[in-house]
Amino acid sequence: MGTHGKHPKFSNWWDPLFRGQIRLPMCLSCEHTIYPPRENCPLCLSDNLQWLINSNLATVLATTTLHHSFEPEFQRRLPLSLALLELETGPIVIANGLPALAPGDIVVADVVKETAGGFDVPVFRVFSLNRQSLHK
Amino acid sequence: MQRISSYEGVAVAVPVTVEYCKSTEHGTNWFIGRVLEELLRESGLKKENIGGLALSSYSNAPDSAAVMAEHFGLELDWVCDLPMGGASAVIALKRAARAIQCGDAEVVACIGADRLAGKDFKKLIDNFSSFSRDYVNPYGAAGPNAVFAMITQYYMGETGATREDFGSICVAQRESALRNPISLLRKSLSIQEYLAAPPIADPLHLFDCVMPCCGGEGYLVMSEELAKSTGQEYAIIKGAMETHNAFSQDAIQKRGGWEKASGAMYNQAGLGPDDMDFLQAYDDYPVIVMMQLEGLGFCNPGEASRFVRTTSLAVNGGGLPLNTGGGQLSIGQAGAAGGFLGVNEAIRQVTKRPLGLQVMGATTGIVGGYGYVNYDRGICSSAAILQSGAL
Repeated sequence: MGTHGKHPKFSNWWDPLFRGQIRLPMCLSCEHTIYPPRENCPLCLSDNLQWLINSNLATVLATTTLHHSFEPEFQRRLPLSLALLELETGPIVIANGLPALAPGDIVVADVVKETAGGFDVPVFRVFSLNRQSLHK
Repeated sequence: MQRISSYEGVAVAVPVTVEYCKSTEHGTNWFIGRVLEELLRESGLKKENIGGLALSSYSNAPDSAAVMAEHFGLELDWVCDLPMGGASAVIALKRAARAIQCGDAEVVACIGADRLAGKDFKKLIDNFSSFSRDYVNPYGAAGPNAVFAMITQYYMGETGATREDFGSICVAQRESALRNPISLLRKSLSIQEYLAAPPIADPLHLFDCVMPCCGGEGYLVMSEELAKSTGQEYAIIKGAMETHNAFSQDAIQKRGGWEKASGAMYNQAGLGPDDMDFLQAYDDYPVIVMMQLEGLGFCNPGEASRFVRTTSLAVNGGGLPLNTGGGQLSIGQAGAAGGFLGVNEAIRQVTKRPLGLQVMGATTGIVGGYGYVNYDRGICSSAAILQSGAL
């Protein structure tokens, strides 16, 4: 993973992902959910934020498949599928998605640890699920 | 609508371009020094005449504009660093013009230069912003291709734009580049070749993506009085705009900030889109050119694909001459110099000194700037209307 994820602010997001949780800062003053995380609310500028477990539901806004990368660790994983997701609570998240995803899909986010090319990579993956299976 | 004071009395002159190349033994500061040398040679001015420096570079860290004064033995009264990516060149124009009007500097050199050879580009995208470093790069999406692929896919879905529409922009620009000696890509491009190019990030293929390279661009801003007395051919600024984080509530970028501010700019100029003899659009990707066609009023929102199907984009095709020197998609993108390419081409067209083809009878044109992908979109947009100072 190189140096990705080493920043302490980043680990607040990353570490819970390994436990299958989406945790995001929420503004306790205006209830705005914030992503990418930062220390001040972009709506009301309050710094009274708390990391809370967030809904896993999201809508796919757009997808792409990368056939080229400047980064050696990802060159080995090409083609690489990405998605731009709008979480149910509003934030926009860029993440890895399954290749079959299409704009408009309702998805849930989950996290697996993927072993590819002989090295472990944490991957934020998006699984297509129908709403029925969500209520199991 | 907001009223903006005019840029009356300000001249923009001496567009210079140095050493576009894919690799070099030189550092970024060498390109900045070469631009300065050419600015002085072309203008006949002396080092001591340069009172201000506006600088945009991705690759000169940890140095800055003030540091360049010592590097090049300048004694300056005014410096301005411009870390706004492809929007910087037009913003430099705005900042420098106000400095001239207010008497803070006599002559301002505006320079964009970068060395983005080999591993330099990876180094740049590794640490471009805190958001991208921590919340984009870990998924393998580092660099602009992934974000603009998704913006392009969304735009195609919303507007019906096709790859052929984007291709018509790339093909027209390449045709103009064939006559521009600085262009790194000077092989003709057919729509068939465009469509058959290898995919980079679907739906983007090879010719949708600018080629990172090394190079430098610069121009001088001074009073019209000084430009006349020193014999410079110059352009005047009829209007200008910049926005940062416009339309932030759009879930995915479908427009730049032009739609928000171009009306005030046209009012300031007393001109409209129909008065423009050309458009030098910021062309990091063709979808951004389409957003400028819409936001700068050449067509309605969502109708740029129809516009490019029915309008010639050639230099003298009777339509709207677009990126008349070939644009970044042909010439290459020397980092922050990329935005300066459009400003310089606009100055060259209205002063009738193009590197390539001249738009016949051109007196007035518009240049767009755009950039700074902090997270999922370019957050800075800019534009300026330049007119021949000889009118």
